[in-house]
Amino acid sequence: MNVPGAGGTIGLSQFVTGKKRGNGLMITGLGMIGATLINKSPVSLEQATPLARLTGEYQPIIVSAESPLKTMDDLVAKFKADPGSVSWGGFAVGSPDHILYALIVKAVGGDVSKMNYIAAGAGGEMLAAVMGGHITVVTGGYNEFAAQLKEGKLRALAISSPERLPGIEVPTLKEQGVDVELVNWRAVVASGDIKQADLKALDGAMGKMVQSPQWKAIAAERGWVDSYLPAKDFAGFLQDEQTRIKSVLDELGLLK
Amino acid sequence: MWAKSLEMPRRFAAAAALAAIAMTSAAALTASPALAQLKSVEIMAPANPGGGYDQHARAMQQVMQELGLATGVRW
Repeated sequence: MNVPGAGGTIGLSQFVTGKKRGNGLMITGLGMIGATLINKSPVSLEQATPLARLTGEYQPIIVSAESPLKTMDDLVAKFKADPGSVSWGGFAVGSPDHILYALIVKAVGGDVSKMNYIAAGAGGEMLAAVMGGHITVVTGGYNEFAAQLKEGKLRALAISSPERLPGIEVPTLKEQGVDVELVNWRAVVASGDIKQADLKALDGAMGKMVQSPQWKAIAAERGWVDSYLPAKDFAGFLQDEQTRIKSVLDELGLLK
Repeated sequence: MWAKSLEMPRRFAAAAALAAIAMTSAAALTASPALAQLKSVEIMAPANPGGGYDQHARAMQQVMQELGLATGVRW
């Protein structure tokens, strides 16, 4: 079931307030923390039960193959000459995409408040916008752009990993002098009123799932790094992460 | 629109694969009832198809079905 909207907070709201049916689960991630903070959402992830952190994903900075921009230097120079001339496309306000761009602009001494950020949706919508030249740069998970990168329709200027990724010939932000790394984690939560016995069974099921060859094959194909944490550890991580993201967004002036 | 049309065959393929998996996992469950700890599980992706949340929901559904981790996995 897909419930889109407001950086995942519409889905979250439905998940935590809706009628519970069996073992309802919801996918979440770094982006939902930012979205709930920025949208001042009346619901929060704390109303759900942490089940497992699953994966981590690094993000490329993508332009159309026809774009004159070839490197991060080109992008930064364009932004500094005329901030409004660069449209930065991403999933939603407060998403990891938004945070990544803001960290980049801050790292190169630019003015984050002058960024022209466009919430361009996910998947196909965003691809169409950048390929049609309507948006200067886009970002997201590497695999969302892999096919078009291979076909030469898109170009990756940089990737947000600490080092180059195996099999991906894209220079990191760091090696281009932009001191930023970002990994977008994804996870799964259960309903807030789940019974302990059900939580325990699901926790065990998630452990089996992430260790299976089937899961590992999908993760490898998608470029997802294993970042599995079981329910108890994920709960602790989630609490720390709420604090960390709040301070990052605050520092970047995105909570005003 | 082209992105959607690219996606459709994959979804059909996935649906066909799931139908096949549903049969095999039902068989697996009868063979090893210890695995049938969970009732039906329903997974929500809080975003449109194509993005990371959606891909994770589909991947979970597929693998949970294949491993017979629940009696039914809906997404």
